[in-house]
Amino acid sequence: MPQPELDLERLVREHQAELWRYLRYLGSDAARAEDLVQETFLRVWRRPFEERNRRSTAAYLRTVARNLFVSDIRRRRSRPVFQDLDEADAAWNAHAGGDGGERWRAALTTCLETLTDRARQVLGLFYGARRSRAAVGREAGMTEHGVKTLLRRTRSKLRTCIERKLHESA
Amino acid sequence: MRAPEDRLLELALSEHFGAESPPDVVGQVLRVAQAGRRHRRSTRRWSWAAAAVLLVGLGAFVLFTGREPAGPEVHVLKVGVTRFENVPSGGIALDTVWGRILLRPGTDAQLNAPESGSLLLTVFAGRAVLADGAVGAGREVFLRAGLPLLEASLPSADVRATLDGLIADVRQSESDLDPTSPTYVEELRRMKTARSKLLALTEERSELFIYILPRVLPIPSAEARRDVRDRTLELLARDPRLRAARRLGRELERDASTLETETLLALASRGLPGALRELGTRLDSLSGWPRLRVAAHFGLREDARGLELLREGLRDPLLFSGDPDLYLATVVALERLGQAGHWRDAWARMRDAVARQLDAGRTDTARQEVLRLGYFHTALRAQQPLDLSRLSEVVARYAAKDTRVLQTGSDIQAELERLGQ
Repeated sequence: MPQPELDLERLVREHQAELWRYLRYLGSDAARAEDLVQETFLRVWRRPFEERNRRSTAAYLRTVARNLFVSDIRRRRSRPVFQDLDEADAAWNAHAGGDGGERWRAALTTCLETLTDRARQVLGLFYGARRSRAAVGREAGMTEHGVKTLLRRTRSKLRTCIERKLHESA
Repeated sequence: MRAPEDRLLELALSEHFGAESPPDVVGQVLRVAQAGRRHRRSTRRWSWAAAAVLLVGLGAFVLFTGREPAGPEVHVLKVGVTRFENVPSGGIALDTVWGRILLRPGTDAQLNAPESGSLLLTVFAGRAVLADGAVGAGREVFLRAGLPLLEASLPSADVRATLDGLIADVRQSESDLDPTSPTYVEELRRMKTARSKLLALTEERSELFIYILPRVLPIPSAEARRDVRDRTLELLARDPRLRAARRLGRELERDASTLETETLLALASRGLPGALRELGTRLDSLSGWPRLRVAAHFGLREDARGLELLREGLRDPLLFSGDPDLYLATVVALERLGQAGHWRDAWARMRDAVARQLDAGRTDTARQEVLRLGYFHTALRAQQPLDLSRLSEVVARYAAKDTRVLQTGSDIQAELERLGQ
């Protein structure tokens, strides 16, 4: 039976973004992730659920979401992004920490500002506009191989920068 | 296979550069939660097998006798659940299965059980009705369908009587039958005969499908029943022969007690007095938001029946997020009844909601919210009527118009301030 005392609206507002990002990370596309987010909240609402603190609530929601995700890919016979979901979860927990990844994303934003204009342009075209490497190359005046190399180096640089920022602020 | 850290980074980059962003599902979750409460109060029992058999036959027939689709995305629907069978290719494809179904006209597609689980896709009045027994009855699934509208008229009274009898037999659940009863076999045979007869009838006359479907399906019939109402109202609006339109209106009013509340609201909004009388008698027997909707209808006509319900409705913590159109209609109704101050409170709540949207970068959503508020502001100031039977559709159409004047966050906020005065 649903918990009438549960503030469903607040629960959804506080956790929907992180839950969606988690499902995208596990391998759902954006639309399916949105549906699974809805389903997760409705399942939680219908069962006895005691909110203790934000962190444990987030972990519980991710557990429910993960179970729904697994049922979904089994039903659709899709290939999962990760073979080992436990390992994927561990990586997520390390990334998200206790704040759903807010500090991590803030560090990413800062690190992006340290890149060259060209690197940011290439990232924007590839990840933002979702162009192919060849199309990015044409627009940026580079070869496709050059784009591939730049993307690889830039991602590596960003990972190093983010780690450093998180370490500095810890 | 990518390392987890790489995947995290790439997704974050997609989000940072605007390719995608976390959705706001608050409204949808609250609406389904509320619908789930209403469904649990229902005491009807349905035969899933009967519905599935009927829908397979009806769906295949209706699906392939429709006109060519008009466009890739026409409607966003809320539907319920039944059963899935393979449907031959012929113009329907599913991009996703649960929650979002995009129907692309003209594509050669297979709806295979392994891809979509257990779903039945039927065309009802030109819109896709999706069913999935594995998900559970009473769920809302949002669809976009690119299918044409089918034309149909209400069956005559004697045909309706025949159909009602058959539908009653089909609706009966096999589990209701007593296997130890001497009449068990006879009742089972009657149930199965009724299904065959219904299928045969709808094969002869496809318009009967529109009458039958809402009476056979469970929760999805709320959407289907609204389609019956829409068909009827379109007939009333379009029929150039006034006598026929009046006759149809009288016929509907004679059956007012059997009509759904939504249908009655639509008819009452068009001035049919029988529908208004019936709504008055139902006010105490309804509950939840349907009851509030009826009370709002009276309030908008400056009829104080249901005044306490309106005040109580505004105290429902789910209403503002779950059904903002009904919330604002309630506010306008109270203002028309001389209960001043509610518009200012509603405006303040909307101002906070819009501020949250703008802070989160959701300018489009903020724009839609302000345009919605503008619609109700106009209705309040100009004393315009509000059709509560199709409020969300009308508001969405109004909000879709003329968005060019609210391009930026500043435009949106300036318009919001104007509406608060």
